[in-house]
Order: sequence, then structure tokens, then C-alpha cells
Amino acid sequence: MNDPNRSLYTVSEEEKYCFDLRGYLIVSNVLCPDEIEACNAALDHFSDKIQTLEAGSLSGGSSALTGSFGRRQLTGMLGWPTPYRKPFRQLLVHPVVVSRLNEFSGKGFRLDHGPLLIKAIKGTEGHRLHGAGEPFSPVVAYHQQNSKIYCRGITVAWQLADCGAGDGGFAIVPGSHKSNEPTPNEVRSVEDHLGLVEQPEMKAGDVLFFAETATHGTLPWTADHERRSLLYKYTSRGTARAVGKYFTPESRHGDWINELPREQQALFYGPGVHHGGQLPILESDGETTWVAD
Amino acid sequence: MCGKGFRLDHGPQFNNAVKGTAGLTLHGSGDPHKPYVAYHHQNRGFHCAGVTVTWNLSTAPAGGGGFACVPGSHKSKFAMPKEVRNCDDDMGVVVQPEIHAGDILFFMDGAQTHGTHPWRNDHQRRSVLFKYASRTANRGGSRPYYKPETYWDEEIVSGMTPEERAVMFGPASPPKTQEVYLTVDPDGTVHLDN
Repeated sequence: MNDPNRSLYTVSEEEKYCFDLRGYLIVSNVLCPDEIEACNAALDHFSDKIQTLEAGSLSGGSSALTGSFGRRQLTGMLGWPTPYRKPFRQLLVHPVVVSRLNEFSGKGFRLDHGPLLIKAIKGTEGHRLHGAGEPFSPVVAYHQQNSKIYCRGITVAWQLADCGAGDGGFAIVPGSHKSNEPTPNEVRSVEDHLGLVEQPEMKAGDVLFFAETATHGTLPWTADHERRSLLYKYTSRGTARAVGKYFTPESRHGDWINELPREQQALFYGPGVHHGGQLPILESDGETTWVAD
Repeated sequence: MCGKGFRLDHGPQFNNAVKGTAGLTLHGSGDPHKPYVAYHHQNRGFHCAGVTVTWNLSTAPAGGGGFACVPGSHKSKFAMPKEVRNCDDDMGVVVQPEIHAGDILFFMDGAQTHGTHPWRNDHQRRSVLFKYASRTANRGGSRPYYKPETYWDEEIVSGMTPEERAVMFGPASPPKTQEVYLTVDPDGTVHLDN
């Protein structure tokens, strides 16, 4: 996979095999030290904007994932003033990304949300594993047919700091994007993971592609240096996870929509699942249709 | 079929025909796979990304023309033969179901091979089509909102190159415009796939 004679900008058959088999792929040595430094310097410039989550908010009560500190995170890089946004816009359509996503998600892939910087210091809690092949999740579903991969949700995680074996950070159940059985609770909590959870070793400058439908999360950070991982959340062309600015019926269709009863308005919301609970859900008994409480 | 939270992607659309109206070439199929209208079944659950609901306001008798489809084609893993598509030699796989005024037809739009036979009846064809999608799937109905300058806040996309802008379009089924498609040259140059 890391044949020095092979172009970084083409997808090998071995890479396709690994991504299909495991649900993730690491391409090594993509960024040079200067590119890593440019990202880190810009992030440091906006360090006062970093949000620290409350400890316990992501570990979900798991004894295996608990930590003293909450995750630190930052967004908005694409809209920062120049020159700070430049390195993040370059990563957005980096040739290593475009070549892999054209193959894995199909041409016309799009950024759904992000980038999101995930930072952690020693003692930061983990993140309960989430995602699975069962129940089927249309928004991030994985499908392979006739030598073609169709992955609706792929996260591209640029590594801006080393992540050694046992350091913690990104963890995944390889192959789980194809699972047809529910994930045991003890695997999600990593309290008894059946030997299925893997924390891949990565170096600063490496880039990780993973299928969002694979069971994944974060192990507590144990290294002395900071974790720095920059996540771009892509989807295939016709898929929406985030809801965008035009989500409500009124914003999409104008005032006339307000004349409809709630049950009819419910059909005119825009696509996406990150709606924060504001989506009305219809119920019916075959005679009457109503909006669920 | 689509899951709770399903939405109206576009329509309703009135399809009207008089005697002698031409048919519509069959379209849609299981291969190539199209995520935005795909069908999947797992553990006794349906997951159909695109379903068209057709209310029939007049009768389509057997052999009279109108809606036609290839039953089972939403699961096909092979390309549809050209002669099936144009119905010149449909191999006996194309069905034009008999439908009465007041009947309602649900079909898998895009995943299933379907189209229209020429209308041969003295009375008009009258069908009203509602194009539904599952919560996260998009067809053409989201195009009015999908330009980067519409979909994102201004500062996020301001000053972007055409290549950067290409991945900032909102969700919708693949458009004909080349603005959303990227390719990579062997030397690593990324450009629009013209």
C-alpha cells in the first residue's frame, strides 16, 4: 500500500480491497512538515475559540473510556480570514482526497460538514463507539456492487500529530460497516470489546479515510503530547447528514406553506438528520394521520 | 418503505395523455447502483430511498398503455439491455399493470426500471405523481437550494476556487453541470472534470 513508486494520486487495487474489507484506509506521508506546521500555526492562532466539552459527555459512563478531561474542538476554518483559511481549503480538495472519494463515494461527492479539529491532552476521555451496519442507516450506508464501492458517508481525518500504538485516539471495529447484527453494548463501551476494537497507529501527515457506518469512536488519550486530528465529513452527491440553511418548510417554499396543516407541512422539510429534534414525524393508523408528540 | 421522516422531494406532477401519445423510454435500474434512489432490505426492514406515489384519476386497462415497469429490476445487478429500455424486444419482462381510476400505485423510482407505453385508449390518461424520498436522500427537488453560495454561509465559500467550490454544493441527485465533478491528473493536479 505504501509502494514508493506508486503515485499518491491514484487508487490502487490494494487500497480498494483494504477499504472494502476493513471500512478504513490510511494513506501515509501525505503532508510534509511545512504543511503540518501551517495547519498547526493557524489553529494555534485561533486557540481562544477552542471549545472544551464537559468530561463525561462523550464517554457515556464507560469505565474503559472515562477520563479527567473533556474533548477540545474547533470549527469554522474554511471561513477564517486569509491567510489562516488557506491550508484548510487546500486539504478540502487535496488530490489524495479527490482521488479516493471519487472511487469510494462517487464523482460529485460533497462536504457535508466540518472541518472539525479534535484535540486532546493526556487524560482526555474517550468517545463511546457509534455507527454500525445494523440497524441499517441510509445516510451513511455502505454498498459494493460489480467492483464499485458506494460509500455514502466518509470522514477524512488529517493527522496533525503522531498517534502511536496505545496512545488512544481513533478506534474502529474493522469490517463492522458490513455487519448485519447489532453491536453488543460492551463493544460500544469498550468494556469488553471481544478483541474487535483496533486503534490504528498514525503519524503526523498521514490521512485516514473511514466509513461513517463502521463502528468507531475514540479511546482515552494517554500520550504526553496533544492529539490533533482534523476531520472533514464528506457524503456522496445525493446524501445529506447536516440540514443546511434551508431546512424548514417556510424557508424552502415561502409563506404559503403555513396555510397547510402540520401533517402536510411535515413533508416539506429539507433533507438531513442533524435537525436537533425539530423534525415532525408522521404517524398513521390507516384512517388518520397525525404528528407524533 | 422509506422510513419515518420521509419527505416530498418534488411534485406533484400531472401526467396527461391522449390517444396516440408516445411512450417514454424505460429508465432506472439496479445497476449501476444509485445511492439517492437505492433499495435495500435487511433484517425484515425496507429501506427505499425513492418512492413515487401515483394517484390514478382515470383507468389504464390491460394493453392500453401508460405506466410500465420491469418487476424485480430494483434488485438487478446487471445492466439493462438496450432492447428492454426501448421496448423493441422486451424479453417478456416488461409489465403494464392494469390500474383503475381511484387506485394508487407505489413504485421505486430510479432503482426500478420503469417508463410509459404509448397511450391507446379513447379516454385521457390522468395520473398525479408525488415523488417521495427517505429522510436523507435527495433527487432534483433540492437543486433550488444547492448552490454553494445558497447552501453555506457567505464567509465559508467566499473566494473559493472552482475546485474548492465543487465540493460545497448541497445535496441533490447528480446534475448535468460540470461544476460539481472533480478529477485528478497523475501529477496531482485537481480540476473540474469537463
